[in-house]
Amino acid sequence: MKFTQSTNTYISTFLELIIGLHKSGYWWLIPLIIILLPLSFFFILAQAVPIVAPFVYTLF
Amino acid sequence: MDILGISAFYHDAAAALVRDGIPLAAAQEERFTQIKNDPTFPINAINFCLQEGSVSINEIDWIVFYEKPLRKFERILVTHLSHFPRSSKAFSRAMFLWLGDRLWLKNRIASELGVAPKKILFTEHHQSHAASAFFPSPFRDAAILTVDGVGEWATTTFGKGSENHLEIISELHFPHSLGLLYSSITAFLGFRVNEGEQKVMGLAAYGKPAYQDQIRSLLSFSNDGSFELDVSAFRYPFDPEKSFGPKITKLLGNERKPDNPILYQSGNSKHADIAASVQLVLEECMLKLANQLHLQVPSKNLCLAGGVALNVVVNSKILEQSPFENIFIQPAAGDAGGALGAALYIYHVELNEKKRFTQKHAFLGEKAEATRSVSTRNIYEEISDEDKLIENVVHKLLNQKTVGWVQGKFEWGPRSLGHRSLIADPRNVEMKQHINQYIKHREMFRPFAPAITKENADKFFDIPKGADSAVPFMLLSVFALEEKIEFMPAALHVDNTARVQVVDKDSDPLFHKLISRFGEQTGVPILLNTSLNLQGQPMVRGENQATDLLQKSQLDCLVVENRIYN
Repeated sequence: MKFTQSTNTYISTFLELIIGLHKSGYWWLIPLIIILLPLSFFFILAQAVPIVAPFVYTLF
Repeated sequence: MDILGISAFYHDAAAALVRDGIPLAAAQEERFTQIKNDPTFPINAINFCLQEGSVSINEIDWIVFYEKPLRKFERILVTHLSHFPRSSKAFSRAMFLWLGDRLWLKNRIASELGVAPKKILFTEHHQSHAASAFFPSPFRDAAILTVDGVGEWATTTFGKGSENHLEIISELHFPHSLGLLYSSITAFLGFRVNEGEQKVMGLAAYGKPAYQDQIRSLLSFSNDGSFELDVSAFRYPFDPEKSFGPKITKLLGNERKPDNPILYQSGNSKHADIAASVQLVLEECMLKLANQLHLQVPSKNLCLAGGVALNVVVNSKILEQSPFENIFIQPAAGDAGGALGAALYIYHVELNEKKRFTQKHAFLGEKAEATRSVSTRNIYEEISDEDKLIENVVHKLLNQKTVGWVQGKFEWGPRSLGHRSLIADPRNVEMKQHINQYIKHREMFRPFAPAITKENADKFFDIPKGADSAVPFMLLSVFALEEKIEFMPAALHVDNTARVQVVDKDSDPLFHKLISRFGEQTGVPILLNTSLNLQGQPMVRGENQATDLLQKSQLDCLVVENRIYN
């Protein structure tokens, strides 16, 4: 996947998330998402994300 | 049109390839990695599906993931915040996981598979379950009930299906979940969540529902069929390590630690009593849901999916006691089945394609010889004549040998249905203990299933009307006829019920012939059938894994296609 295509997909996912939160009445989560979002870049760059859910999966 | 369905990341990752509305291939990742309930991205299962369909990933029209990660993230954030600060322990871990990976699933799938992101679609978790139950069913219209732990928000949905249309008409949301209630008690009894629920169901038959009032007190039902859990009794909304709280301990006593003995025999059957109690309450709740669903969707037909639909005792109660006359349950009713459902949902509902199929068997996996080594370590005898092969195997069974029976493509779903099976003589009561103790190394209370030919099913079991679409997949629990109990003690549970598999000649001619020949010799056209695996491992994938199992276990012999290994 090309860099521009990948970046566009990240952006469209983010916009979809914001629109979805607004539509479902959880608009008040949007400021938190915006604060948390920069962390994503570090986490993605870290490339060390565990992909397996823990014992009780409801929180993940 | 080719659609690839994917489920992953929680439990039972899987892939399914649907071509023009018909599943060509479907498999769980665990079969390839040999890691039980493997939740990782199912790259092996995807590659298998592509190979089976003789298609490259770029030729796939749509790739569908079985749930919507953004909706799920919303639920996870809300749950964490509403339980703060108790959820703080899990928050950073969850955010690391979500912000670094899960949230960007479209990128992840596009990158893993090398496809354009515009080809990737998402369906809702319970839409996928509902589609996996309705579209493969033989029904043109049906009510649909899906019940599991949790998807995005929904834990229980009512739906209706008609031709190629499917609609979720109402849903109940997290944390109110029958699946999580059952899982919490599973954890309380010292079993692993997502795996031990079947053990609890088996254990229940040994107990009396002495704790039913205590467990019932954790639930309140409304007249409209909705229910609420007493959330104060559970920790799963904020604790990633423990799903039940002190209130459960107060009601039921101390939890069982995994290393402690399981109390299920006369004298002290506390753990079996708790299992029987949660099982009874689950049955009551599911029956209420089914009755309420029938009021809203007055169809004769019911389709079931979601992890709770793997509870065969519940399924039987619904068929016997609800107004529904016919039932179909997706053989891969858990999350793995979501891969198939997601693909079918897009094909029928989003693309408005009308061509339906009816799922009559579950043999959608890889062929046994796909993992055949050029130089096998074992010595085998090859018998090309089918009748002679059958005669040879029947002879072994009559001599009380345990036989690994590996034929054709492996099964879709958690049940072994005669393609990756361990079979034995059901007449020998000692066989039960022998297989549990010496071959599978598992708890002694675990039951086995009888596989019986379709023509003889009614002569040995009390099979309810409307069960025709469920019994080929071992998805109902039925009573053995009283006068026939003595002929199959090893294949019956302690209460003389059985998770019977009815084998149709058209769906599996070889296994049908084997059971028939055994019946001709003994008068009992039944074989004890259990999955060919060791404890804690998934069922074997193919020939190589089966021969490994033969070497590691006390299995007497193995039949792979026309090869007999001793």
